[in-house]
Formats: sequence, C-alpha cells, structure tokens
Amino acid sequence: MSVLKRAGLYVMKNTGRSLLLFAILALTAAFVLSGLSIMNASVNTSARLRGTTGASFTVERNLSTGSLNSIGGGTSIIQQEFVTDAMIKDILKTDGIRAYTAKSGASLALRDLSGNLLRVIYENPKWDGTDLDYQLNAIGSFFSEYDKLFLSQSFLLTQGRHITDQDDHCIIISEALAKKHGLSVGDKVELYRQNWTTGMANAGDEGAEVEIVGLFKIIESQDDKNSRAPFYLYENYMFVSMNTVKSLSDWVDDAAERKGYEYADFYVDDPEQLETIIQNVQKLGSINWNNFNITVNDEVYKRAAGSMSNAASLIRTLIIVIVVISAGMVALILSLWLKGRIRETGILMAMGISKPALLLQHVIESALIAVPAFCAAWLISQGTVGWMAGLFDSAMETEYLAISGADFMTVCIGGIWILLTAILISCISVFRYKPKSILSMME
Amino acid sequence: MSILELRNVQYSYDQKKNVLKNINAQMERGKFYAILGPSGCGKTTLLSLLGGLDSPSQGTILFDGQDIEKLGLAKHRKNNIAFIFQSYNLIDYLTPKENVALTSKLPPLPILQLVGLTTEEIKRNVLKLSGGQQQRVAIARALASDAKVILADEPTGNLDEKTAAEITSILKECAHQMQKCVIVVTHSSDLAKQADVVLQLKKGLLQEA
Repeated sequence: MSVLKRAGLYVMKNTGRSLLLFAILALTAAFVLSGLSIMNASVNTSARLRGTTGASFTVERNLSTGSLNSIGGGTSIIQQEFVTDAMIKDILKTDGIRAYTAKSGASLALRDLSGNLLRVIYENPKWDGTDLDYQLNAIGSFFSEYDKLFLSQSFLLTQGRHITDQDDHCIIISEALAKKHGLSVGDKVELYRQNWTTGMANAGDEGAEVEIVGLFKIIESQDDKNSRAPFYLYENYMFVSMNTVKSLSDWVDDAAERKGYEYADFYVDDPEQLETIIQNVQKLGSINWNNFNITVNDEVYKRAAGSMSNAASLIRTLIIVIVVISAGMVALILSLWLKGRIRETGILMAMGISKPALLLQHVIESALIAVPAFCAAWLISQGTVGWMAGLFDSAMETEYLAISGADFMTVCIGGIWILLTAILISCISVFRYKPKSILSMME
Repeated sequence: MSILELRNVQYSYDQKKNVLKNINAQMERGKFYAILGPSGCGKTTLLSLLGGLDSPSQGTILFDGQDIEKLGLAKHRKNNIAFIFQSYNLIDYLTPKENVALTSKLPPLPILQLVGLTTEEIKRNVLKLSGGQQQRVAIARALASDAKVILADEPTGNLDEKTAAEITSILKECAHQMQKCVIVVTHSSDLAKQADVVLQLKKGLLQEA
C-alpha cells in the first residue's frame, strides 16, 4: 500500500480527529487572514489619510501687532497687512505643500442670460422685498475642495467638479438653488456685484458670465434657519473662482486698503512633515512674521491616524496571541495523537515500513487536512471581511479590506511550518526508540 | 539449505548479563519450529533478533547467507520476515482487507478467504472480530507479504483451545504447503507437539529438545 493511500485511509477513517484538526486550522487561518486584512486596511488608510485628511497650516493676519486707526466717531479699526498673492507664491515654493486656498467673501447676485435676477432661497417672509432677496454668499476660492465646508463634510460635491486656481469664471452652487432655478452643471449665468448703496435696482453695472462647474449637497443641517438672514443659509452659498471674485468685488467694503486675504490655508502632502514645512516657511525672509500668525490644523489627521494606529496595533497583538495559542494547540494535539499512535507505528515498523516513510505519512495526513482547511479559511475570511467592511465602513477605507494573495500565502506557509515542526518534534520522541522497544511499549 | 542462521549470537540488555549466550542455530524453509522456555528466558528477544527488530550484542544473523545488518534491518523486515503477535497487532481503524493490504505483495482477498474469513467478516472493522478471527487476519497479513519466514510470538496465547488448534493447523500448512519457515515462540505444549523441530531456550542457550 502506498504512503499516500495509508495517509488517506487514516484521514478518512478517523473522521473526528480529521474534522477537529480541520476546524482548528480553518478557523485559525481565517482569523489570521481577516486580522491581516484589517491591519493592512488600517495601514493603507493611514497612508491615505496622510495624503487626504487635509492637514494644513494657516497663515493669518496678526491683529495683536497691528496699529489702531481712527475712522471717526470714536471708532478705531486695527490696521494690519493682509496675506497677499505674492506671499502665497513665496510660501508655495516650500517643498511638501500641495494645495492652498484663501478665502475672499463677497455678496454677489446671479442673473440668467435673459437678465432676470435669481432669487435666493429662504422661508421666512420677513425678507421679502429687502436687499437680501438676491444676495448670495460668494466664497472666492483657489481650491474649493479644500474649503473647510467641504473638508468638514458639511457640503458634498454631488455633480461636476471643484474649482482650482487655474479656473476663471467658474462657480459651484447648491443643488437646492440649482433646482429652484432649473440650473445644471454646464449652464452659464451672469454673476453681478451687489451695490449696497444704491440697492438691487442698480445691480448689474459690473458683471461676468460664469459657468456652473459643480453642484453641492448640504450634509450638515443648520439650526434656527428661520431666523437666519438668507445670506447665511447654506443653500445660498456659492463658490467662485478667485480671479472672478477679485475682478468683480475687489473687496467691496474696503477696497482701498485691502489688497489681500485675511488668511490662507496651505495643505501639505504628508501631515508627518507638517512641523518641518512650517519651520521652513518661517524662514522665508520676504515675509514679516511679526505681522502674521501660523496655526497648525492637523487634529483630524491626528485623531484618525491615532485610531488607525491603535486598531492596527490591537489587531497585531490579537494575531500574535491567536497564532501562538493556535500553534501551541495544534502542536499539542498532533503530538498527543502521534504518541497515541505508537502502537500503529510499532506495527508498521515491524512490517518494515521505514521511519522516513512513516514521517512522510504523517506529513501527508496533515497536508490532506490542511489544504482544504486553508481553502475553507479563504472562503470564511472573505465572508468575514465582507461583514467587517460594513462594520468599519466609516472607520476606514473599506476598499482596502480584502484578502490578498500574499497574506494567504503567508498564512499557508506559516501553517505548514507549524504543522511540520509539530510532526517532527512528536515523531522524534517516538522514532528514537528501536522497533522492539516500541513494540514492548505496546504490550 | 538454511534460510536463517544464528552465529554466536549474544544479547544483553545492560552489557552485564547475557540473556542469550553464544547461540548457534539454523532454520530451513518448509519446517515448523517451536521455541519453548520459561517466561523471561529471552524467547521474544530471540524472535526480535531474527526479525530484525533489534540487533544482537555480538554475533551475526544470516538470511539466505547474508548478514541482515548489512541488508538493512527495515529492508529485512519488509522483504523477508512476517510477524504474528499474541495480541494480533492489527491497525484498529482498518478492515481486515485494508490491514492485509498494508504490506501486501499478493491479492488480500483470496488469502483472507484461505485463512477462513467470510466476505462479510472481511468488510468489518477488525475490532468487531473475535480473537480467533483477528489472529486469522494477522496470519493472512503475514502470508500476503510473501515473506519466506514467519515469526509468531505466542500466536495462540489469547485463544480458546479449539481456535488455537485451528490457528496451529494454519501455521503448519504455511510451513508445509507454502514452503515457509515458520518459527513459533510458545508456552503451549499442544502447539509444540505439532512442530517439526522443538527448540528449548534455557539459561540463555538454545538446544533441540
């Protein structure tokens, strides 16, 4: 009888033992595979977070070092230089900065191409007939994607694209406003500067044709919407390419003095390098840092990366514990089983079956159980990972949550190594005896 | 010509006292040998040495004129020797047919039928067979290996009188009709009476009775 047939007969005839070993191997391997998948997903998510959480620093006017300037009537305002385009250009030369945005708010109105002013959205009738009927909260933006409203997921771009610093005459409006006026991505409208002193009737002296490049959905609901002025309702927010805002508004309220921005946000490639980048920026001699403050915005990254790192280390520890316990358990079970088969070993040796052939038989027996067990582990872990993907949906990038071929191979090789070691150790303890001694042990 | 020969064979467990002392003997094919002796005199040890389960402390054992140590003990056991034990030593999770097939060089079924097992018994698990039936399976296993020498250690020790007589008869047939060299270690005088040659092991020396 061939060694393969002997091994096959043992596996088939000892169903209980085979099933027990199969279950231990399959469940352990499935657990390890699932654990590795979560660990990889958290590592990948962390890596992606480093690039996408929007870790940034803000350069803003330092009002505490500004001078007071009397504007009459006993009122003084703080004079301080603004963040200028030239400053932004200098800062952007620093390595590691991938995007920036500066905000320039303005009150602007929209007209369709037939010249009809488009009314803003509000429910409270008290705003009827006021100047606020047509005022949209226009946010000048270099990169709308990095605006805090999008980063905080208060808004979500649902159609079209974001505005970049390469754009001109582009706007993004709310889905609600687009629906109200039957507008969609690609439509052209006219953007008008609101004339506060003369009222809406004179609006239109300065305008620009713009294209709607995107629509956003409001995710974060606003409290107390009824008492808010229409201008402050999210439905009436509008993102406008920075050049367009500049050309239209020229910072309407204080055009004479204001030639820059209150602040600018700079987004870095790798949040881990944020400190270094800021140090390099502060070395720029072209900027009087006495007049500006730099604040770090990496709380989101730190929070997310921290939880990812905790999850990965927890899973790593769990995997190690499970592998050690399972390996010990499998080794112990195999060892006990092989010692329990000392009689069989003696009989087979008396029949002239050599020790290497007996060792090979035990290896084949384990392989006959291990191979289907690892295949089952693959299927079980696929199911588990699918289930976990739903569980961790909001905690990590679930597209990374998958069983990789490399992990499967690692688990198989590790499992085979544990089995071989256990078999070898158990066999050595029996094989060191002469066949006669083994047969005497049987009596 | 002898198939097995012992030349100045000595054996000791602890290098102090020899259990077997300078044993010389020759065994031939077609003969049924019985080795008698009191308990602990070294009968089973002698059988183990003949079967290559152990090595003598001194001396040589020849099979067909060749030193079995040089042949390789595992190879000697596999090709030249078949064992039959008092406790049958069958693999308990297999059927008689599978037990016989383990080392079979001949088809197992006719041999199992030859030793008196029915078709239904052949398919059962060996643990569900009686002692006599299990010993028949062990004899069938020995015959199926096509070994020239059958070594049996108290083959009737666990059997009733009638079954023991049947088993003895089968072993005798193995020697006379199949030209095997059958060497049986026994306490049974009934079995010894059936042997062609009776050897007595006393104080480490083997003598023809």
